[in-house]
Amino acid sequence: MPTNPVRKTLVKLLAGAAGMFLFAIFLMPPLYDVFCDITGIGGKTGGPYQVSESGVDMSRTVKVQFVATNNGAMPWEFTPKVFEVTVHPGEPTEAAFFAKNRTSRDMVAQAIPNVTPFNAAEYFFLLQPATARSGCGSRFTTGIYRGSRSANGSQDDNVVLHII
Amino acid sequence: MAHGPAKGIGRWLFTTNHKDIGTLYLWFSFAMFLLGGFFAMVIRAELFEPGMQIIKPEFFNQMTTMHGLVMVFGAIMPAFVGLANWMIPMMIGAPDMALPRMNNLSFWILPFAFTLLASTLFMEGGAPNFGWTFYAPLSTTYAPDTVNYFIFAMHIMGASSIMGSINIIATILNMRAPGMTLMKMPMFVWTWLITAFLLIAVMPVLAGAVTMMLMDINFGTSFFNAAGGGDPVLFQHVFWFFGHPEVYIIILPAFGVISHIIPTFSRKPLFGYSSMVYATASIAFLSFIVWAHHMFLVGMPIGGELYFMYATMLIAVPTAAKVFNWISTMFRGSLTFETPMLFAIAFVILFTIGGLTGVMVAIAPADVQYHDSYFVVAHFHYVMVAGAVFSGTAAVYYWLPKWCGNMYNESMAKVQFWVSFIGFNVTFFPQHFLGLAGMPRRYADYALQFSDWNMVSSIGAFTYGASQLLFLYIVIQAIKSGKPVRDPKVWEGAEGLEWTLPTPVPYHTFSTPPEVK
Amino acid sequence: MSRRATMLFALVLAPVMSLALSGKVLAEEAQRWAVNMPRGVTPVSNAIYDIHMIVFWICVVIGVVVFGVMFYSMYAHRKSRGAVAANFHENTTAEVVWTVIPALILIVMAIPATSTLLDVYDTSEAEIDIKVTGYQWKWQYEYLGEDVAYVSELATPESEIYNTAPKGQYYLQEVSEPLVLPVKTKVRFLITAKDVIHSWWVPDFGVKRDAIPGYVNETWAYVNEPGVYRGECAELCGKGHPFMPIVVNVLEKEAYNSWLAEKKTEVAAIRELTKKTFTKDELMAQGEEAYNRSCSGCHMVNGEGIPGVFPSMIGSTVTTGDTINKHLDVVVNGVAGSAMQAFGGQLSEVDLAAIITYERNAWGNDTGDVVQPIDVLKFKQGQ
Repeated sequence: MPTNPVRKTLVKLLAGAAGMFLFAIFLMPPLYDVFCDITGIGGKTGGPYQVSESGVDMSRTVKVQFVATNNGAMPWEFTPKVFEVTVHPGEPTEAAFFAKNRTSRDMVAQAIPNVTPFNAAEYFFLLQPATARSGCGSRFTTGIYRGSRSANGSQDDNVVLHII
Repeated sequence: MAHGPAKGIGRWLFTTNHKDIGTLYLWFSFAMFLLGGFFAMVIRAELFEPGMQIIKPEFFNQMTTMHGLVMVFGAIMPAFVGLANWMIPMMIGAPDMALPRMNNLSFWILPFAFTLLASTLFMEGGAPNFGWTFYAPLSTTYAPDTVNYFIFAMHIMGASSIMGSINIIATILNMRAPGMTLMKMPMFVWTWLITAFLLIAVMPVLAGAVTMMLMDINFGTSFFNAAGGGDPVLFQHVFWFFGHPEVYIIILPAFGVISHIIPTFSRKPLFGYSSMVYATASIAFLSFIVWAHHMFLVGMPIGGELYFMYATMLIAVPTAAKVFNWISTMFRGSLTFETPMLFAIAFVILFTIGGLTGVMVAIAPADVQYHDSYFVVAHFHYVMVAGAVFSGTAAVYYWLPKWCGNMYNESMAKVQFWVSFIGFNVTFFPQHFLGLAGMPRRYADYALQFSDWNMVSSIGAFTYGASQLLFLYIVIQAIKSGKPVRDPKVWEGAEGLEWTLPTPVPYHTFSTPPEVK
Repeated sequence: MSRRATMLFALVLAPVMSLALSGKVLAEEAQRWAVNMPRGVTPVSNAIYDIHMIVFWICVVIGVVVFGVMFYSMYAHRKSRGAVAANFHENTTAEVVWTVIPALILIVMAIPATSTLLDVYDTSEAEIDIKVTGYQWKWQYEYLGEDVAYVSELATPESEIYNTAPKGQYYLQEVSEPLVLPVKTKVRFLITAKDVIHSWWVPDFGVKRDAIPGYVNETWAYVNEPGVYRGECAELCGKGHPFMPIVVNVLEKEAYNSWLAEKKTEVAAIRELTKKTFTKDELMAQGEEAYNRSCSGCHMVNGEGIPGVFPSMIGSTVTTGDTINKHLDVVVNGVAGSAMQAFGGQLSEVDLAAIITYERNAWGNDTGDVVQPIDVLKFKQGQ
């Protein structure tokens, strides 16, 4: 008996619906992440640091500003130790953040970086992600960001690094 | 072979007849329309004057959320599915839908889903209060406990839509009468064929979004939580990837109805049939690639913003072509203005106004001032109410005599039209002013300079609400004691297979397929 | 109607009428019956106004032409007038024409739209950076690099909202402390949020940008005229969404500089106050004001909260229990996983001490406990 054409249509469409559902859950978030990574859109910093051989560009400077925001229920004190640095691209510079766990209990916290303007984000690399830290009253560096020299000379000279 | 319908409540619970199921969908959608309309009356009563007079702000947020959800998913979508069920088989010369039992299931899960959703109003923590667009993290970390019921109801409603769309496609592609090629199908069938594909493509994406929400809320994932490495903006992308095609899902069948009514009352064939088909298909295709125009202010980079602006503006082109085709159908026709035609003409005017304000909000820099203001509220109510709802009302007046064999009272219906038309415009036109003057949307209370237009808008809303009760009366009166119509054509200019059947249509039609030249 | 009935009627009607009228009379000052966007006071707001008007007028012309043809047809081609239907139903030339012409009109609109958008996005070379953080339900402003930061909350009393007092002229558009900016200076705003998505909108500046938790967005303004400008939160953020307005006070540059200097000394002054010992009455008075400003949004002026959502203050273990430390912990550190924020970083020690004292003694709690600012400071330091 020939296959019922209605059944063929049903199977194809059900497969399509299932496919779109799986696309939404399993493909859209990673695609979004990859897209953000490649373009720096959303201010997500670049992945692991790639050593740049091009050295330090002394002909121009970049101003990098640092701000910190806590999530609403986060009781830690968390501020940048310095608001702004002016550096030559490729020049190693350290800008520390002060974090203090004000409670009497051990806590693990995570700091997430966000960079604006977006086209600068790809030039910032998170070397040491801030993960575990417990105890009270200690100061530590949340992460070292090294700006690398941009290949074509970035137009932006004013970048804000935002840690939450 | 054909026997009449079963008796009693069993008939309605177990029916697999497309006419019965169409009737169920239509009554259900009207009940939901009244429920969503009641929420709107509460909103407009509270907004009548500045200050909180009647309800608290947290309840107001539940009202705006439930109004949107019930109207979009409970009223307008099921209404057009009901029209599809009633009319598509008759329009293509088929005896019923391709999958009649699945058809029954598709309907009956809806009252369950919406009872569940409406019952959250009485639960502790209250109903969903995060807007019908339910952005994270307001709808995840900060949501009331009832959010889980909301997610469940959305899944059920989505399943209903997907099953319904599969049924519609399977019917249209496999069961057309011999001789009815695709390019001979009536416009309502074309618009539903395209809409059904849109539904299958994007309802699962909505299901994905609410599933990711469910996981963030209950299973510790961080899809939409920045602190966990996720992103609230990802939610907006996934939601609007569904959400923009959704608004075309709402309007395309409405376009189809208008493409039947205007030729009938102009006594002239639809102008540019093939262009209308291609325009509909273009609109559907374009609807997939413009979603982020709902997100112009999240902080998209300029390249993305410009792309979405241009792509969005582009949709105006095929849409405008359709408007010109309808007007060309009327032009040098022989026009009469029975109530379906009045609503159809009002559709063309008011939907065009909504489309033009749509072009305005597409202009991304100007959207800096329009976004999340009452200007946007005015825009979408023009296209959804004066668009989709007026079209649905027109369809009921147009096809009711065919369904039940009685004519509605034409004088009362004309009154109902004018009160609706005036009430609608008094409600929503001033909302353009409110938005431009600086009033944001989803505001339970407002600064004093917004008082005057808000009062006007509320008066319009009460008027419009009353006119819908009049509509209910007119329909019931027609069914129970309207003047009998026995002419298969009902309307002088009506063309199509459905108008070759007796009036009222028998329970089973086209058991033998007709010959289509 | 009898004399008595008339008096009763007038008595009932009078407050209703005066309430209705007082609001209206005061709104005379504000823009009643406004139908259009303001031109605003920045180059961007003017550019936006211009593109808005261009597109608007093009749409009006399109509407007039299209509806004109339709209305003409409705008149001239009526069956009752004897019109007989023609037979044409397609015309490829017409289809091409009315596809190309709208496309051209759109291209004409897209050109100024593109340049205006480029303007909106150009945050380069700003002189001042302000960080704007959206909270449920207030804004915090931080002058980056100046060590000045403060919270800006709705100042309209609840009695005006719930109609037991007449509404003031700036009902729902007045705040505890406005943002202060200098005129004719390019200001960059870095916008983020603490909890849910908010949106910072000042129509007169032509500025609106979403405040997204975990993101920092940037936008800018260059204000041409001094004055007071009022804006709104423009993204649904919970029940306080209509109750977190924005007020910006734009001053001449010298006035701004003195204001900023004064603000910095104010920070030092508050640190001094922390060492002072207050009487219970002083703390209760200050506490009631601070509580109503910062806590009543969730916990209500009457302390009852909302069952199932925001806990009651009345007779709870936190507010009336033996260990004041638990109460301090909740207020200073917040409660992780809930909507209770950590106020330790938002309010001064004086305010915190006053609020806790008030909560422990109001609404019949009557614990008799008094918390001094120095106690709060010690708690913060010695945890």
